[in-house]
Amino acid sequence: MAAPPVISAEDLTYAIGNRNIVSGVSFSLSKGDVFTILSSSGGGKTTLMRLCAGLLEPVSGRILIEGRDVREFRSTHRFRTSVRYLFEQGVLLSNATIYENVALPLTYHTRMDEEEMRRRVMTELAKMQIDRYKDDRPSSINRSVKKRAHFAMTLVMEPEILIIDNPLEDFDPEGAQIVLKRLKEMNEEKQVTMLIASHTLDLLASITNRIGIMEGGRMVQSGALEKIVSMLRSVDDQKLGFIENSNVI
Amino acid sequence: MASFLNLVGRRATELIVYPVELATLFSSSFRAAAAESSLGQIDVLGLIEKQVFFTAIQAIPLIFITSISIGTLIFIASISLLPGFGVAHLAGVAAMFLLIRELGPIFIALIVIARSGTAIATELGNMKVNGEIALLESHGIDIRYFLLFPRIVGMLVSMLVLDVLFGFFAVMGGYTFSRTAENAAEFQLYKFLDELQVSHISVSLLKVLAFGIIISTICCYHGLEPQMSSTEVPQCATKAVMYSLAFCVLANSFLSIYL
Repeated sequence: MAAPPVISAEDLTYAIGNRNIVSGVSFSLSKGDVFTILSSSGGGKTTLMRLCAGLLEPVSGRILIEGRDVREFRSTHRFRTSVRYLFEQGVLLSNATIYENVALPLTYHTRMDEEEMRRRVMTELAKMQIDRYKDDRPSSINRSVKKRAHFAMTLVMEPEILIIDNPLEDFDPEGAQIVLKRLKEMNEEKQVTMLIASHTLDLLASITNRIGIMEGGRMVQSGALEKIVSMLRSVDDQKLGFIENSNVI
Repeated sequence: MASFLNLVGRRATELIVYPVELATLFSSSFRAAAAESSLGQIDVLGLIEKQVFFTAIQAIPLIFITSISIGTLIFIASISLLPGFGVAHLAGVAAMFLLIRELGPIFIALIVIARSGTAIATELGNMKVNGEIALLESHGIDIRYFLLFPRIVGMLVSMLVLDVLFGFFAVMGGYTFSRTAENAAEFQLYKFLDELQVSHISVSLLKVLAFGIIISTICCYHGLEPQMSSTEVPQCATKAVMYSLAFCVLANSFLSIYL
């Protein structure tokens, strides 16, 4: 019997008042898939990410993670330690140092000894090339470093599913490459499933294997990276102009 | 007329719903602590410690000055005024009753609202607006256990500590300074202490516990209220102070009457 999809959305709809932000979106991801959802601003991708992370309640439809409805699954230890949502802004706790921020998920969820924890945190900080900022507060570092620390805080727990909102926003080219390299490593080594929202495919093409295109809250196209890219090449699609400048096309 | 009735109806509903929501928040933080007790113990204990440090330890100088001033005032009033009415023997009873049972707890509540209540509401409000609370939730951290429980417990412990200190400073300091008053020689410290009853102490502790629950819960509740803008934070902090004051005064009257 085939394993259930890691994440699936079934006819998902979310509305504020009478306005549908997400309308009838469905997709399904297997273990190790990296699914990038592209849309211009206001296309509904951030809302979709929040729905998938269980941070918002859909009006209709449902999100299943490992075959379980996210609304019930969200409170379980399994969900809390294996599914992670990364914010567009690199949010960190302002009253803690970078080290304390990155260590927090480990101190809360595990009973790891201090030595092992220090090793894990410092390794993650080094991979993000921000180990020299470990004693700084978030207010004293730039946005690129802050967002890399936000990634480190998430990846230190070695999650199995990552839901990432605009991962490359706020990064300088160097910061973007560092994060992409780390995401690729996670995907190749640990088969981490990723659901990514972005304005452009751009650098994300190097880790993506499936693309979805949202417009006005609807998923207008989805499929394998090569298939969608070749299809977009063949149509004159001004509505999807945001993708034309990407490196893939 | 309809809109007036509508307004009255809405306010009446709020009056019922508000205490219910506070009670739910308070109990849910303890339920969350019971459910999550195996997680984040070091973090939560550290936060309780910080809350006690901020609410109790850092407030000691202020409590010291306030309690000695009030103690002196009450002792001098008891020593100077009561003999004039022929009830000098009631000086000790009056001083102990007023200082330990009545004035101590309410003054502590006022100081804690002004210092820690505003700090809790503002800190939580800023965390909410900056997305830090959503960050914690996205990491599977129960904020009722991680943020609210340490603040509530820390404040309860602090209130008890401050109450004991207030009583001690008010009686010892107040008595010492009142030695300059007329007739003071007649009144020995042991005579005052003889009038100190266990019921005064237990009512006083009960009151500060009640005030601690009220202040911490109301300040956490309003601290979590802001949604989008940083301008909401001071508004919510003001609400937290006003409601804490009102509820503490009401609770004080109730407890003074019925205990």
